[in-house]
Amino acid sequence: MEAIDFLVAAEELLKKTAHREVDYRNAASRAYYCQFHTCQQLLERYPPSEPQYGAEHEKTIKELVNHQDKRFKTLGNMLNSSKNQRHRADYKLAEKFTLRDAQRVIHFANKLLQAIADIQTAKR
Amino acid sequence: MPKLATKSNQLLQELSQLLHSTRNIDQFTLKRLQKEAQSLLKSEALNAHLFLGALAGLQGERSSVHENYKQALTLAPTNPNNAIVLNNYITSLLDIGSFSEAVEPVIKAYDYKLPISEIVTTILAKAGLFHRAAELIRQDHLVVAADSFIFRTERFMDQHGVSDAELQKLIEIAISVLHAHQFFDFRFTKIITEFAEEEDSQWFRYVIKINGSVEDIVDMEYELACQLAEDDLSTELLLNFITAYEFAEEQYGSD
Repeated sequence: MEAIDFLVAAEELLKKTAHREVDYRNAASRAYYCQFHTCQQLLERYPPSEPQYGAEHEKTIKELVNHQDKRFKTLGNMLNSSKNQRHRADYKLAEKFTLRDAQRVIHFANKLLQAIADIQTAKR
Repeated sequence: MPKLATKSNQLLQELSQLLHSTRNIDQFTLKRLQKEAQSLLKSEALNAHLFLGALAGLQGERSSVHENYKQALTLAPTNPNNAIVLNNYITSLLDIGSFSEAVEPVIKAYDYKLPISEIVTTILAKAGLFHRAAELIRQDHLVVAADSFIFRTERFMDQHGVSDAELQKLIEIAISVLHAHQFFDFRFTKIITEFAEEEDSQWFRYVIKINGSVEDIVDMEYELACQLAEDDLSTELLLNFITAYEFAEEQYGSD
């Protein structure tokens, strides 16, 4: 399985004819995991000069934010922002989570993937 | 506002309606009112500057907001007029999301002993100045409904070695991205400050609820991420303090 499959699954959830709020939340959550795994793969390919420690998500964000390359730093900020939206989707049940909230996370995930593709092209 | 002549009165009425209107304000009306306010500059300078300051706020013209209210303050150096000017000055700055810039006039108004302790601490918090808000509460023994949140944020900032100035800068960057996208109208914008907790981690959220499209929000969020990477902000700040744009609740019904 590839990281992108998470995003494909997220997009499919929004294509369903009958939506439930749980679909929006799942879509946002899946879209985050696509970003998380893609960022991890990027770091495996271009490791940071100072490896960080801690829980996987925090560690990945920290390594990106602390990276010597500013484009990685931007990715870290983006991933952190998406993690925050994923938290809303998975934990804040009392707060309404809408179709637009899910679309926003998916659009943002595509933007992050594009930023990673640009970095990889530039590094080739 | 000070006692007004008839023309001022009409202008005041129109302006009040605009300030409380939830509809988009048309530029033609704004320009007409601006022209009318300018015509009062010689005969009623104080009122004219108050009107021009408020109109500048509605147009998102920050420098003109400062210019007119500062002029009004020099024309009304004593109480109660200066308190009225300060009150309007603060309102105009808050209406365009210039929370940091509202701090100075707010403290000045507080020094005039206006009964605004809750407002002061709320504005300081919106600007990211939690240490200063906590200090005020302790020093003046203020009774403020949000004090426990202010103290909690102060402790959280200390834990991560984050100063008021750093958090203020982060918030200012988030607001500047909105301004760059022509989002100037904060009259009905909800700002939420809260903590998010998940397993062993915890972070501070500063949420700005706006009326915008999915594309608007995604573009601004991306620009914010780029801008934060450009500025020299600490990792502790970036990891533990998150500013986010979210959809205003009014739009939830449209799904």
